[in-house]
Amino acid sequence: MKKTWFVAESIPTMNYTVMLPVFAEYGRFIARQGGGDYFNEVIWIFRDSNADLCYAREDFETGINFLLKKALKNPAWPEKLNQSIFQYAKDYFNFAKKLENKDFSKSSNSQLLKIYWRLVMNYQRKSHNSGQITTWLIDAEKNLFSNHLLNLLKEKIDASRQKVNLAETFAWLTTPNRPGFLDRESREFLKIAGIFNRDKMAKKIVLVNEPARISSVLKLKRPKLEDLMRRHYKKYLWIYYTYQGPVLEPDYFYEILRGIFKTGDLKKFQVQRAGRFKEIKKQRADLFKKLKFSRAEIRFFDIAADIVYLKAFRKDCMYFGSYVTDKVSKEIARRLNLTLKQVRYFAYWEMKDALLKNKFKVDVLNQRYKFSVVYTDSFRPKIYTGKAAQKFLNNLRFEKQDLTEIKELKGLTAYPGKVKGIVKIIETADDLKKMNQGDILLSETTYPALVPAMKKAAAIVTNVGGLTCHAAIVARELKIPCVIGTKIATRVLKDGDKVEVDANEGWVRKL
Amino acid sequence: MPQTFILPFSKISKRDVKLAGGKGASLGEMTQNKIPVPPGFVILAGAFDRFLAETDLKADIPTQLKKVNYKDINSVEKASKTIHDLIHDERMPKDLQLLILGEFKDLWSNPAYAPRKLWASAGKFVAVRSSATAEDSSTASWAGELETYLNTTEKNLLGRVKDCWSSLFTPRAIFYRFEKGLRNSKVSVAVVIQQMVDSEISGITFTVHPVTKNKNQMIIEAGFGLGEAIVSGQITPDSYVVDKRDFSIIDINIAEQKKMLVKKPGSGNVWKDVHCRRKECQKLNGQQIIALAKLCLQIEKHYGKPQDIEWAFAGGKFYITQSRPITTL
Repeated sequence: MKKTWFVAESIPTMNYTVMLPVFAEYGRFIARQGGGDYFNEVIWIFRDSNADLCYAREDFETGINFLLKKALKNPAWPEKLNQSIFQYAKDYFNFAKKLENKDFSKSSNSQLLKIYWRLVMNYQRKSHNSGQITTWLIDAEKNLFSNHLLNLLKEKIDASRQKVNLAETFAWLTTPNRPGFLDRESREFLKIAGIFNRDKMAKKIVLVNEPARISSVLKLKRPKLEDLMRRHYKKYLWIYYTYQGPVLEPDYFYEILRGIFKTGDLKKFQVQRAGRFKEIKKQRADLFKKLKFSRAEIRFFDIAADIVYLKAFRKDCMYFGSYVTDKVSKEIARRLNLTLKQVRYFAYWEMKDALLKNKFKVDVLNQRYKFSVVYTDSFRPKIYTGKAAQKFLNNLRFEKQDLTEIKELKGLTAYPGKVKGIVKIIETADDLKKMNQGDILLSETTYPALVPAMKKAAAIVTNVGGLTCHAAIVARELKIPCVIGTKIATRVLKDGDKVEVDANEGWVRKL
Repeated sequence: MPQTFILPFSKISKRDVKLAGGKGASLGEMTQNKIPVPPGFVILAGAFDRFLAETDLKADIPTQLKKVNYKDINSVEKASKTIHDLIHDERMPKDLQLLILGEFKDLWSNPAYAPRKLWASAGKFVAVRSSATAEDSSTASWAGELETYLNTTEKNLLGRVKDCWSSLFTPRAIFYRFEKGLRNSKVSVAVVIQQMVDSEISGITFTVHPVTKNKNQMIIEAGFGLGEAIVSGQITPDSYVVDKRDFSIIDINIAEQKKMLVKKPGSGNVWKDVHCRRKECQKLNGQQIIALAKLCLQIEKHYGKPQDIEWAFAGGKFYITQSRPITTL
């Protein structure tokens, strides 16, 4: 019988440099980590910069159920996996950090090849692959792990006969209690903001000048503060880079600073930030006690909180890595007279011929970007482009759904609340400008570059992701009603539709 | 010393606008500065003056123009048509005819005109273009108003030269001179005769990106076949953005091209299907893009101003067919 395929995730900015090394031996990596061999076959469909990740339905279901069962039976296993994720992500970050300020124009082609290979094939691949089981598969698409913990929590609440909000409690119990990159960035930034706030002249300069001009004015009047801000920018310009950039605008942090001073929220943010991790720890401890959690049960929630943390940490390391890899790729592009975009569509095994023998086909790179299919059965992936790609897809069976009749969508609550608003579908940074204050943000999935729009949203709704996904984490921090894992919200609804989001129950209704 | 009526590009510089017209002077200037311009020569404005002087036209044309009622477009058109016919019917002085046809032959036989083995094109074809000598030619954008005849053969060469001369009297040109108060001033026109490049790929370069106006970026547009298809907007070209500081390619946009304009055997142009496998191809590869960008930057540096450059690629080589300052920046 023919297998039925489905799109598990649609990623708005993805390319061969990031994807191919990881999925070349995807199934074997997972098997080696004890994840069974259910994930050998994977298909990626590339159209422009978007990429759809597809699995065979039956294999996938069997696989993720196997992973859940194994993790529940033996919590030491996911704990061990989580530890290795942390280590590999850190290694990747540290290796990239050493290359961040290197002048690649001085390297020979073979040196460049070596650097590219180590970045992409050693560090990135390991970091990316180590995270697959716990931070993706165990909770992917069906929210298996989240739902399991949610049910457990429900039972505990019922048994305790206490009046507590399920979604809110769940949020507290799965929120990580240690700072990630974004936490560190905002802590350091608020410190700098405090220094500006105490200096009347500096504060005035920030308030009266256009953000783009503030730096040059400060350079004259308050050179030390300008230096502080410049260093902060240099340290964190990559935080919303995702896989393909761009870096933050040079005046980005001045804009934020201005915003904080204008609304007078500095104090509030400082208080929130200062007590944040203490409060999380206290809330968790209180809740566990109140609901009479056993040590074994707490262990699972610790794993969940770790997954939430690692998901962000691992991605942040990857974003930094992508930012540095792009610097190498840019130099490769310059030498081969290609664009950065074209270099991103080399398969890693072609880079040697390209750099050492100047052997490559530019039209193939262009085609891959435009439309291509990558199929892997755990060995070197096969790449199909153009007509061959279409033929390959035509031979497969994909899950179908009639979307026209659907008026209600069910998902999972990531943060409770009930609001009405206008739908805006925000998939990439280009969409940010459509977003108005109070709109309902819909997205396949969210990632750091979309945060500016998320801050304006009255509610956030995503197609994919469990309670440990980016949207859920941000919604909790910003206290915005959020429904995740609706599967098809962005395909059923369109810009301008009026909807009600009932995040208490996990519903989205078209009005 | 006898008057000179014809000069090869190699003997013309940018100071010769009055003799060779704006276009002719620019092509000469580039040739003198080793920019690869397809070989050619200019029939100087003096040749047209002589043609007028030796025929009745010297009196006939002003008579026709005096009759024009500038408020009536039909009257302008009628005068234009009459003058065109007069020029057409008048015989060109015999010595001028011989000079022009002789120089035409020299384009392929005289080593002074680049003796290298030229592109594989069979037959001898030239582009014939009028080149206005008016003082304000650069600001008033005369170039767009005057004529270009591609794929001209020896047989119809002299007719095309006359057509270029008549282009001084198109309805728009007549009206333009009236509006600018130039009605009674002396006008003349030179004619550029240039070997046709049977271009496989051709296009336009703006040495400063005209949309973003970023001085560090140039944009190249490229399409298969003759460049006229791009200039006239009949095909959508590829576009490549190049950083002029380190010659890195910032962006490449590929446009699918189904049809291309090519030279018809004999004369004239014809639309041809692009081979199915090449339709979605990038027209120039990276090395070619950078080679062309360097050439265009050299031209910009020579003139000290951002340039709008027309180029052609044939037989593995780039040719510059025209360069003028970008006026819209």
